[in-house]
Amino acid sequence: MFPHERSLVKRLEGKPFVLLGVNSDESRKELKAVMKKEKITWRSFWNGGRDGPISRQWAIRGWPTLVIIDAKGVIRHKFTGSPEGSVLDELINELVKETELTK
Amino acid sequence: MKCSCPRCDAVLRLADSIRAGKRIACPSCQAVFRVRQEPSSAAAIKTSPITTAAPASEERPELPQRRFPLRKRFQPKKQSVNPALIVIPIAVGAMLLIGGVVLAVVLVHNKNKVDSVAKASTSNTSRESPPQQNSGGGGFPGIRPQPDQGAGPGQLVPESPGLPGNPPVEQPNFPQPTNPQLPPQPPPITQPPPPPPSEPVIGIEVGNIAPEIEGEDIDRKKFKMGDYRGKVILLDFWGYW
Repeated sequence: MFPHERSLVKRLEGKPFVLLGVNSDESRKELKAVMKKEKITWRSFWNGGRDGPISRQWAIRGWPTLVIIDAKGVIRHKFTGSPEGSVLDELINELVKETELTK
Repeated sequence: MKCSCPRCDAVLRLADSIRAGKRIACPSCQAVFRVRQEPSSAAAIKTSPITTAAPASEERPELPQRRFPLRKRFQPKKQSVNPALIVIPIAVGAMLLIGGVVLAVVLVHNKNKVDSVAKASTSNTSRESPPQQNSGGGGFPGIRPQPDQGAGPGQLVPESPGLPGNPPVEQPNFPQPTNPQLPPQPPPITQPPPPPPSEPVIGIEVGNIAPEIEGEDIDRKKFKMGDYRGKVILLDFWGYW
């Protein structure tokens, strides 16, 4: 999962795309170590555990959950569990193209 | 059997069914008396069977003649009363029929008037519509020269407003919109579905506007998802466990 996300971020660098995380770990210290180890460069909200306020607001029942939001803020796709990397790439590429054309 | 009237002494010939003691009325003097079987009657029969019979026969026809004519006279009077009673209801019935006919005629006239008005309006519309297109079908002399003069319909339009035909032109427009209004009713039903996509609601389902996320990152630095509006966002709820 992390390798694909890294490639995604790198591939779409400079494009109207951003990867944001909502981390539900409980230890900032451990998480920092993991991020350094996994080379996670994108920002994540601190949820403070799986029962945190953000995951509760979004009614998250499984991890990971991926949500694709378009440039207007509309939720376009939602996956509970990690989808195939190619599927994710295709959907995101489509939306990025759409966003670039409307600009 | 025969007997004599005790009042006028007329000898009466009685039918066999009439027996002594029965009350009878003398046909000559109309006196009522009981029949007596008198021995003298036998002598009377012998002496003047014919004479007695003659006057009796003469008197009998008279009495019936008097009585019957009287009855006939009275009967016509009674009948004359009955006809009056019959004539009154007939007259009333006739009046009602006449009234009904009058009402029917009035209604028919009203309908005819409405129809005539409708026809008139339609005829006006039909008359006026053509003038706008080409030549004046309305029969107004002013309109005909105009189409002949210039092929430009624009000339006709400005002058046509002055004609009485214009208001009727508007009338046909009313029915036209009403007819379209009937079909438009379905559209409202179809319209509601579109709004959801056009005006998404804030929510967490696909098609909703994503609710804002405000928080801090691992380094306690505050930021929000709205900062990245204008970009496609892949929001990853994750954990390392």
